[in-house]
Amino acid sequence: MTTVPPAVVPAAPARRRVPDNVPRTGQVLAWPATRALLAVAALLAISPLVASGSVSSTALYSMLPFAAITTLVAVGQTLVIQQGGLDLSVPGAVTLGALIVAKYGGDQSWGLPTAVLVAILGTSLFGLLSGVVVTAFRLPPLVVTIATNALLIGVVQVVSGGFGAQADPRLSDFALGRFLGIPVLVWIAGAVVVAAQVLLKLTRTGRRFELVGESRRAADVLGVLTLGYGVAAYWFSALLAGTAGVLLAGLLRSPTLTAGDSYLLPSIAAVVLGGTALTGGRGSLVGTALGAVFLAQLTQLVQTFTSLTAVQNVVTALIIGIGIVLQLRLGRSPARLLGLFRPGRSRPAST
Amino acid sequence: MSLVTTATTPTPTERSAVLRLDGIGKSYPGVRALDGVSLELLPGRVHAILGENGAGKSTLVGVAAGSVTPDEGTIGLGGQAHRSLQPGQARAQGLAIVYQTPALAPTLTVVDAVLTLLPADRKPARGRAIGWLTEHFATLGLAIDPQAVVGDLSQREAHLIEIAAALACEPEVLVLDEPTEALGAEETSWLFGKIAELQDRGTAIAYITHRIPEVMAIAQDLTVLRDGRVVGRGEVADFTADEIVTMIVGRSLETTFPEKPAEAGPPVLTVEGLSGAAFRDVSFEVGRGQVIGLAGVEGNGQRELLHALGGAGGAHGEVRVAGEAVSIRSHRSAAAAGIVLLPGDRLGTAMFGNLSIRENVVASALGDAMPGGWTRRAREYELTRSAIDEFAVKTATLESAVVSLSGGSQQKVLLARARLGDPRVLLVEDPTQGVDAGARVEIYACLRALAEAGVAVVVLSTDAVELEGLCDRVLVLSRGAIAADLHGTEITERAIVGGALLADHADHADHAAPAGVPEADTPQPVAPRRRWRGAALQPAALLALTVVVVLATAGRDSSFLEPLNISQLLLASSVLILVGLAQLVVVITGGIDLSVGSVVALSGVVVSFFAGSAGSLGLGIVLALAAGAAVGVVNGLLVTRLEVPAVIATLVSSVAVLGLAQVMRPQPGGAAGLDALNLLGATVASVPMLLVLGLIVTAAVAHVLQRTALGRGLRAVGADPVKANRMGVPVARTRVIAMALSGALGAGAGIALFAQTGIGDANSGQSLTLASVTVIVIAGVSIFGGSGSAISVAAAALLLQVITNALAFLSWSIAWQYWVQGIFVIVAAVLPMLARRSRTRRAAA
Repeated sequence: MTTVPPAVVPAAPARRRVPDNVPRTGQVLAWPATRALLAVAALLAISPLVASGSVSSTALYSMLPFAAITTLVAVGQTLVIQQGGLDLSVPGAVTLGALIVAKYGGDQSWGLPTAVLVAILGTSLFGLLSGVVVTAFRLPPLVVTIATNALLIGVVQVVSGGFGAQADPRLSDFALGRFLGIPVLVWIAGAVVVAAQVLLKLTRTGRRFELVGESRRAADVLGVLTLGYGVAAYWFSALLAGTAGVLLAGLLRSPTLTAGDSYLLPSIAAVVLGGTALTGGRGSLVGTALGAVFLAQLTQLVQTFTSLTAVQNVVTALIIGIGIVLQLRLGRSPARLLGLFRPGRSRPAST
Repeated sequence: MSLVTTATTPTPTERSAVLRLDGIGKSYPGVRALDGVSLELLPGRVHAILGENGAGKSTLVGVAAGSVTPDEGTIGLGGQAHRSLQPGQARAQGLAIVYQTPALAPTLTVVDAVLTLLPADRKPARGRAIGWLTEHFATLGLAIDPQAVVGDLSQREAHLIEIAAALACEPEVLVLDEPTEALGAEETSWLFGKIAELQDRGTAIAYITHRIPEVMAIAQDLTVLRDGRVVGRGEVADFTADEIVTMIVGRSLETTFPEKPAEAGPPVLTVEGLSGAAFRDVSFEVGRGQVIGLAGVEGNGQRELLHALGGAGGAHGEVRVAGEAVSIRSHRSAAAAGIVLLPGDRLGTAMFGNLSIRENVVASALGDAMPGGWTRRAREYELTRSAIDEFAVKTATLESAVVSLSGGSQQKVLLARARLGDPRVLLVEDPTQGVDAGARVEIYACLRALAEAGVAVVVLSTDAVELEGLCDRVLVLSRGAIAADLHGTEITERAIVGGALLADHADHADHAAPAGVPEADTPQPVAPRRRWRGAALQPAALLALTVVVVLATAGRDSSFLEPLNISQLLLASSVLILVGLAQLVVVITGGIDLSVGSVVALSGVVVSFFAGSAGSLGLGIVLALAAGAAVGVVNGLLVTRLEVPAVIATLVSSVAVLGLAQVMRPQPGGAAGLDALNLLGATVASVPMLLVLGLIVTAAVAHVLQRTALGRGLRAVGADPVKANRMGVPVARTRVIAMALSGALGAGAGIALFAQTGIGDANSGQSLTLASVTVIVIAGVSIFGGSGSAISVAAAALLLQVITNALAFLSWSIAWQYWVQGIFVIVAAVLPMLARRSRTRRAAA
């Protein structure tokens, strides 16, 4: 029989002051957006080696507007994902926004300003519906937003009568225009990203939004009114998707009934590549925007290889899949990324 | 209460160990749960494993049972040494375990759960399983209906089922993790009797508890753990109870607990006549400087009482803080009244796990931290430090995520947060659950300091020693009412445990014994016929609705009933049945498959290359099914191996697979040859053969889901993957099989679609992903996973097809096809939630 004698109470050791944060370089490396920036930089560096001319100014000018539209949709998706949800109604919302403005934007119809407003606000109502159903009844967002997407497609059918429409030339001129040499769409997307990032990171409302997203029950127990944040996320998502649709109508001139379909996967992929956790909570909109740029450049690059959309889809999907897996694996422990730069410190300090 | 003592037992040297854990180490983020722990269980002996909360007891037996994978060390079981075990493997090697919280997937029936727990050589044939289990329960004296659903039973009944299943295994090794926590006095002595019987048969028993009297009564060997290390071991007979307590705590109680004040001040919190769903007519007050404890056998309303005081809702009665009546209708109103609740489920409901220490601490004082609504990082650090500085929190920086801290540091962060919010009442649930010995001292001191500063502190704990040391008054609840009210020197571990058990015992005498109490009750299983009717109700209702739609449409236009239209309709519904089933097998495991539509397209395209003649058609069908299953396997591996969420994995593969189909057939083509088309379109008594096949597949899927081990696994994984794993279900493999099945069923739908259109078209299937979700939601399949009926899915598919057809027939806009589906999904998903809410509300009233 062995008995280890009871340990003597250790005298409290002289307490070391815990630092606020790791050194600044470490902080920057740990940002998810840093990973996305590295990925974009790497892709831009590889592009000319793979296909000459894929980073020429012509190529960039044709890539950036699409990156901007993906960014808009993906910012909304980020907000929803921060609330622990997922918005599968993005395709319907983009298409509806595009078709309303194309169908009714002419002067003989509602006129452009009214049509734009209706396209954006009308579409956003469906986001409100998803948000209320998901948040108030705590239903799985996947099922609810699939249903909302069906409702949106139904409205698309009514609005379009089954055919695409021609957008007003003024809208096309606006969407294709440049300001200070940079495409107008990039300015718009940039403004949205900056505004949303400021709201999230620098205000009390933004902090509450992240708290509720991280754990709605914990926020509830603290006495935070949690209902509104979830609803707002879905509402913003549909609002931004509708806006993206309006701009897409200008860019494409004649949007089809499936114009929005190709934005669902990129919207989610941009969020994951940008480093926002799919479990909700903290998010990075700058990361999302960089993720969108990455995807747009990737599409561009794949397009220089083959003109077949089908092959492009397969290749893009495969690369997106690999990117998502990498980001999810690295994202789970930022220390692993730090370890890539500082070998020997790859393990998180065990406390 | 009489404890059964054991007869003569063999000495340790007589036989060799049946379970040998050697040098086991296990770390979790921020905490070393086990460090070089060794343990030997000898046949025919009860080995008590002792330690405080968080000492590593449950982790250790988890390692033995295969539910925890150790970082180092070996497990010797069944004559072999293993680096790690799977729960199913451990069970097959003759180890049975009863977990602290019963690990039974809630959507399974009792008989399904028991069948899953039994190793293969102990399983009765499925056909006579119910009879066997009824008999087994009867010999044990348990009155539990084998066909009841586990989720409808109480925690105590679930516990008894697990014990009964463990006994049925006739195990070599039996592990009992705090088995008497949820049991009453008579059940406890019943259990001790069973343990004695097993001992006589030579079973080795590991018994985890923190009730010393039980150890003295039944155990021969003991091992004491503290902070993940073995601090003492030997034979029980060599120790006195006091020596054992000292070994467990590691220091005298006086140095662990802060001094209690002489007397209480004026009341800070007053509760009068508070009643809720789980407790009734509770009154007490907390004086200034006092710490009040809540105790009771698990499930007697004490947790609900604490949460209700914190604003969980559903309680009525009067609550006053410092003499003022306050509302505890919601967490918000409770918070406004200065009542702060620290729930015991730290990760789920108390902390913001992935956020930093700073963000967690200032969450209770956002107004103070962010004057004017704008963040100021420096102010946040200042506040965080002011709240946390007196605690020793082991962390690299204030920006570390709290989930990476040890249990003790997490609790300190939460206490710092509570203190920063300047509470008037602090409600703490299980303050030292998973907390190491050193941190306990700090936590007790903090709670006492808060009480002295004028905060009313209420502590709920399962550890009677802790309540004895910390509290000025302890309320013991039994069946929702205060059964004992202990003051001052009356507060002893024995009085707290005894108060709970005695009250329970007295209640037994008064009330009719509830189901599950091992008394002379005869089981009263519900008549099988009524159950069968219940299961058949849903498809019957869906079919009736279908008939109504058919009749209404035919009333508008009688040509709807013409044979050609009907046969088209039935053919089309076979496609929907198959995609519905494809979605069902994945959703039942708690996943979702968004690649169904693309798989349909791929399969149709593949078949179209072989449909020139009836001869090659068979090969085409085989290849199409294989392609679908392959897509499913890839999805499954993405989800299980690479841990990509199902929705994203299947979305990515959906795009890739659609692209692949488009590459193979850029334009619709490959028209079917006449003989092939005839073969696919063959009818049996004017019913399309494909529909017959679809119905046969439905029956097969229904059989698999309801009557096979695979089906039990699928349902268990969907209901609760952690519990399913503990039950011995191979979770990852089950998920991959579900995805592969889904792919094959989707491919079947693609073949059926090809039979309808006669042409390979890569763009034909996309709308079927939505349709598959619509079908399962209409069919009442739980969208959270765990249950669902294939028969209902077939009926729902028929209904949806009839509606779609009727809309087209009555030339409604195509928009309605989408709207009907969207509305159906939302309404069908919301209705059960509303029903559940009104049920809980009625229960609370």
